[in-house]
Amino acid sequence: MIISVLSGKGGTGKTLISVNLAAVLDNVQYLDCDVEEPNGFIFLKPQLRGKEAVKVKNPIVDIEKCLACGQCVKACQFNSLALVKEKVIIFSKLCHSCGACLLVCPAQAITEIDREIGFVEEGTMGDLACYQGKLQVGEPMAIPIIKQLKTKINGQRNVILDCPPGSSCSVVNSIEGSDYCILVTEPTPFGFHDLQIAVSLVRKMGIPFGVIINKNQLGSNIILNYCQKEEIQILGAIPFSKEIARIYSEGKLLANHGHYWNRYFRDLAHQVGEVIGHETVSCN
Amino acid sequence: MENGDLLKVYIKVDKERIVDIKFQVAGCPKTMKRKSNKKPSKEGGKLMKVGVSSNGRYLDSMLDPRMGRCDYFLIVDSESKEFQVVDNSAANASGGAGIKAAQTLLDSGVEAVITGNVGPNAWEILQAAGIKVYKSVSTTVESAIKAFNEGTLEVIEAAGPAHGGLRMG
Repeated sequence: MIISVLSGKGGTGKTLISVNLAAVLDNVQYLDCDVEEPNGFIFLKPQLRGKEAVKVKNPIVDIEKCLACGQCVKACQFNSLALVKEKVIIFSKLCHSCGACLLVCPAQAITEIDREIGFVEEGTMGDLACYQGKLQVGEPMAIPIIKQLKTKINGQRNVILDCPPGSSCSVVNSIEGSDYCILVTEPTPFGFHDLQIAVSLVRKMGIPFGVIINKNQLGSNIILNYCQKEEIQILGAIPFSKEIARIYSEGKLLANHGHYWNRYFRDLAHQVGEVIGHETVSCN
Repeated sequence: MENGDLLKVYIKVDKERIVDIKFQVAGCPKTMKRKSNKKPSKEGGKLMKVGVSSNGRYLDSMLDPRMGRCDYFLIVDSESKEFQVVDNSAANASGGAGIKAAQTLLDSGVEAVITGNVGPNAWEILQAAGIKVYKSVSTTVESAIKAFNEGTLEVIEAAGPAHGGLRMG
């Protein structure tokens, strides 16, 4: 079973939900897909086991063979090539590694080289397997790292995907293939606005989903009213509490702080399991 | 020079061509002021094919300060004011708009560009092509060309912020 945790707005509590779910479930893989700023390992504290580089293919031009015909520049859909004074200039960071320039070159002057843009790291905490991707600072494209990270998914296990914020390509790629999405939001106009975008995304992708209202305060019904109107399942609410913020800021798991919270995340997992009719959701 | 002002002229010669010219003045405030005004390049005034980023298709259209995301380029003969209109196909590109726009300008054979801001990628291309870039904002294409001819436009000497066009647009 693959559960993705996303939010739309950043800072609503994706990692809070993800790491605590991962901690209470059995037979779990936790994947931190927020590769621009992964922070799940701060809470799960896995023992690191291995690290592999993520590389993308970028073109290089053999000046001896190049005819300066400009075919490659025309073929590039990402504007990563330019022809200046009969020389091809390559803007590697815009390249999507599609290989069109290689195909159209009449002189076979273009070949590809590997360029490292980040890494995927793995570790374990007990029987919990943890993975995170990290994009190098200054690199604009997170997708290749997320894709390589997702090759670690074992279909026999329970998988928690901690997604990046927003609702753009990196989120779409993260949640693709998930059985269920948990949308974490907060009762603020920003949280509400971005939740609506996230809802339209998961609906479009046809993935079952429910909402958790984090930092909930009595009297602010902005999310509640919306979910009732749209007939969206509310999985739970977490209060706006200094105590929770303190535990989180110390890098600790809420699920380890008393029965209530441990039970809370187990129940959450059961709820999700019931919705998607999955029986392998079991807790330790 | 009158009144005992002192003027030193420096020229840099490369293969019998003057490539740079500077001067230093010591004198009355009036003279000094004239010096600080003298920043504009001497290229202005020379007959040139100039690419101007524009909102519209005519000489009285407003200059668009965004190079990558403007709608049109007016390729203007600086002397005769004859011009041709080139659509900027990069205006709606999801990425690399500056690169594509710079390529369009290059392919239309311009020798100079007048716009508001040039991002790092487009800058790299225009630099490599040896095309000078001049800054102008809040004016019509026609008066930008006039200012270019008079040599009063500021030369852009470094890349501006990336995605400037997206912020302004």
